Amino acid sequence: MTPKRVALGLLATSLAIPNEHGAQPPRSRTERNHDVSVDVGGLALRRRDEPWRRAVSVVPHWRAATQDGALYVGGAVSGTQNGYESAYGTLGLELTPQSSRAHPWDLAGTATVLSAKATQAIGVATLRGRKHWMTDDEGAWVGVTLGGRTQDQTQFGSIAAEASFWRAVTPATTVMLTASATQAGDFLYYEYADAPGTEFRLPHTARFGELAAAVRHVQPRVELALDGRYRMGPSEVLGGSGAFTGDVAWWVTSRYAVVGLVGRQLADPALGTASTLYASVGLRIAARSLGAKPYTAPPRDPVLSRRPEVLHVRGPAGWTSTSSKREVELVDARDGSFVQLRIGADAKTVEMAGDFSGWQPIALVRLNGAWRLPEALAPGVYRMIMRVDGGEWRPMLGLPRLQDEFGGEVGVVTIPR
Amino acid sequence: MRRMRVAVLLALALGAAQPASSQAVKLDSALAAALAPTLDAARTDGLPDAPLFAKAQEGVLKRAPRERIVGAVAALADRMRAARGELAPNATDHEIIAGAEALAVGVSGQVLRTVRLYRPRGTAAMPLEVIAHLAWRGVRPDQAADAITRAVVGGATAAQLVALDASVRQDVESGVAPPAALATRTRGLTLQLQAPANRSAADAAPQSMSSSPGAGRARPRKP
Repeated sequence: MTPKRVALGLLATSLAIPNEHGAQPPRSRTERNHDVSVDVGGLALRRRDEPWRRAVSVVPHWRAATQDGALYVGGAVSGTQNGYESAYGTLGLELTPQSSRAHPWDLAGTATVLSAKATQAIGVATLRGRKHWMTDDEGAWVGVTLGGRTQDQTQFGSIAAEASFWRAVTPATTVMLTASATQAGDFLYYEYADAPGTEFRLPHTARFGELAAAVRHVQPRVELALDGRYRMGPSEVLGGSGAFTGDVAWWVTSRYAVVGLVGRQLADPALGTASTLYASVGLRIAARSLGAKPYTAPPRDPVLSRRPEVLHVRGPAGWTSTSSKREVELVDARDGSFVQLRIGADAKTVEMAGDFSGWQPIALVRLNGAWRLPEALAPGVYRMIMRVDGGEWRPMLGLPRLQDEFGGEVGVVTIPR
Repeated sequence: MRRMRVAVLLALALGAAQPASSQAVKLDSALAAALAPTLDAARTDGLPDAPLFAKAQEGVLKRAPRERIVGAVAALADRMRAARGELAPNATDHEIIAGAEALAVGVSGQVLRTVRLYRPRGTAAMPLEVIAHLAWRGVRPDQAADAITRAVVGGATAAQLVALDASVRQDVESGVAPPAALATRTRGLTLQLQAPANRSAADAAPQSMSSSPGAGRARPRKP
């Protein structure tokens, strides 16, 4: 059945859509930030009471961000073992203009088109506006999302009101609690069991509420997101009441990550998908090496995208880099005592140069497995670069970077008073 | 002859400036000669030359083309010259260097003049350094300059500016967007500057009034 192919393709690809990633805010209003990646993976899914099915998908992603917002294009091409090839594309725009800084708000819109083999396209559009209240490590927002879907020459609409509270419990961990109420127009979706004639249209107006809790934890190489939610509403329409998702990405190198997803997704009236169990494993390939720019975790939410450095840059201590294929860790830059680095055991020489040395190279001294400057640095802010074993001079990753006058970059390290 | 003498002095200075260096950066004679006019003029104008040496060192270390090094050193000299003019009549070397850093990140000369107006000789460097540091961390230069000049005009002490700089740094490192961090911390400093009497009263409040979680930590006002 053609509609089955459409629906299964939509489901498969929507599950495989990666996080919007690389939204590190630019350093200036004129700077842009581009990120390009592709996920290639396999997916196993079980929709309602159907058997498990397998699919493969290729999910490209492009995103450009400025201080005033972001534009992203995502999509997927997938095929299942049943031969349900489909393509899915989405265009998103987020607006966080300068005028929203004092009294934060944001506006986001998406337009999505699904096309599957020998079917009519399905179009989905959403528009969301939110008002935020934020302090250093916690915040809240309320928002309204309008949705529209066209499918089989029929249009459906939905409206959802949401309220959320989030708090950064540690520099790397954020928790978020959300409550929402949704009303969706005729809830059309398809059953696509193998037996013919099992296509359903449920012309209900779906009204339901949800309570959700999410935890997001990000380390320099590992990103982990857990989400649980409980839905209150007519289960015969919505296909269940409880759901969870787990999402992990492990950056094996600066360009490649293993990504995995597992969970149960509730029926989505806006997308027209039914509840589904799924598990997915894939490879994420970043077009630009993470070493080229400190990687910032994908923003699941504009709130988080405004405070992205919590996700990977934890200050002078605790960062790592794959520079020269060696682990480099700034162990301590406090108390004005010294800058101490931990580098791979096979390093023979480590040198550092910067404002503090008049840009003369200073050889670091190895002591107890770590490398340190021979003399203490006075408290202050310094521009610096380093090299290992006479290699290329480069700023240490994880530190704020500046363009220099010579076409390169320097890192900025602070020795606190 | 004078240029040659400057070039020789430059080469010697660069070669012997840092005894702790693992491998001191050397200038070739052509680069030293190319830099000599700039350094000569800078000395004639009474500008500090150590930053110019350091800039040349940086370029050599990064193997930049000679023309680019000469251009960078000349640009720095121009910025220091401009900073000295804006901080006239009696800027110290430290102030000139800090002013040049501020100009380098995009701050206008008016900001330097404002800081000079409210800071006597020898005390303008700190605010200008803080502006540059904030810009380095991702704050827009105009926002940084606006915040710091307002603080200076409001009578902020050097210690308060240092504390502001440190607070913004900590906020940014813990994940707050730089503009938001500066806005929040500036509000706190402004409150301090505007209501010292209230602050004193708050400091004297009974401990029981601060027993809630997070007590003792300054909480920004809601926007």
